[in-house]
Amino acid sequence: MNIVRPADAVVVGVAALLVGAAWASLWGGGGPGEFAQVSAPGAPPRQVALARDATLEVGGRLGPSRLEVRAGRVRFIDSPCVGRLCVHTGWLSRSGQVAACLPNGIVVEVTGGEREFDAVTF
Amino acid sequence: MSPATASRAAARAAVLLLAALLLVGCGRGDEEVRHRFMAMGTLVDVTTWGVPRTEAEEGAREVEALFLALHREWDPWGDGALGRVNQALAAGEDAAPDEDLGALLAEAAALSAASDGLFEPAIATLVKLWGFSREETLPEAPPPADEIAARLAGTRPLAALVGPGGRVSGPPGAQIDLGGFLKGVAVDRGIELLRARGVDHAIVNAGGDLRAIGRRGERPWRIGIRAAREQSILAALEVEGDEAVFTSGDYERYFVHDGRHYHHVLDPRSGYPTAGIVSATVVHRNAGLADAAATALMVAGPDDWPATARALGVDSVMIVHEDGRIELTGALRPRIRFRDEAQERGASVRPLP
Repeated sequence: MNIVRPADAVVVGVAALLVGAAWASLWGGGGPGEFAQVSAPGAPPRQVALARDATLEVGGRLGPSRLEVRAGRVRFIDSPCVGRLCVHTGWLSRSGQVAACLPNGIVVEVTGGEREFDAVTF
Repeated sequence: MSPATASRAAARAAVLLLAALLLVGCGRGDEEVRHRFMAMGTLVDVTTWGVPRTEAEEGAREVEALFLALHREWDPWGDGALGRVNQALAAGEDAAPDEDLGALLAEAAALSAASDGLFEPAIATLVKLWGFSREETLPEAPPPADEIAARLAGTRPLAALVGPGGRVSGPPGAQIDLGGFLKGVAVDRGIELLRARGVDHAIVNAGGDLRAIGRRGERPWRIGIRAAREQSILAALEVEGDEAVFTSGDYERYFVHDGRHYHHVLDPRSGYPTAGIVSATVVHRNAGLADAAATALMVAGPDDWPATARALGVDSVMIVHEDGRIELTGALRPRIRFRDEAQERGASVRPLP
């Protein structure tokens, strides 16, 4: 008598598919970023969905920075720093893109989806 | 239970166990851990692969402490080791830096000499005059020409300041700013620290200047090269083993005055921002050298950068010119994939002398 019968093969097949699906869902990606992770001093990072247009104010060391979420992208629109490099950075949409207002201690990173690069040089 | 049923049950259990092991295998140990902090006026990311989270975070926090300590010690205008050397010079005295800074200054002096002064740390008063020495503010206008000339006349090349035994002496106007080198040295030391803790796969990325060791699991580390003055990606590069990728660009810190763009990479010969090259990317094992070389190549300019690359011993270089042309060395060209088909075809190889 065979140890593995046809029904067992089906079980093995389904198990393999489940493993594959779990792998894909845990390690795969969905293209563009889905969230903006907003970090500010003295507060846990906050997740903001990029699917819903919004304007938000985030408190920093110097004062409030303002962020805009529109059409799946996010950007700084105002910050109380001098150089305003954060505002010059412009829109972020791909997973892994970062904009920061260092003087104000605020960092915005696009997360979710598949990050294409492990690091970016500039 | 018949023997056949028992062995079938055992086989099923084995299959389930195998499936469970596969799932466990996905999650443990081989995950990526990222730690981010602010230091040296930039965001620093420490990424590790295959290290349990608690160990990875411990290592990354040590790298953070290291960066903060180096920033303090090597701030040209602070009270750390380099600040004290500058204070002594300004007071007309000789300075005897500690062993660590002494070795660092000797290394920087050698790079300055090898680059024929294109990488020149002894221009701290010039950098301060322009207003690029403070991380949190930007100048509004260029300084007067006579003051620029006076700062240049008041200093001497670093190699002429560093004497035998590491003693530093020179005119009061000779002040040292190791920007353009320190970030590289800090990245090198961060990687060494992680390695000493048994981390074999990691990236230390200090504001877009990085060194990567090992690989990311089944594949090499993927590095994007950002397009100048934009958020988009110009090209991709894969790194495995141990390599640093440093880019110096005219878009990192700059201000606009009367419609003109003034950036933070100053030409030590003229005292003004460099012209002609938008960005220089250098790939080399040594991050300190890659950092200094990227700066020196910007200063060397569109005609002379290959000679400077040769003099400094870097053979993997990509240059983006102000007119949009892209040049690469033969060693780097096959490793770079451009996003844009036209750029992939148009990028040219420039041989080193």
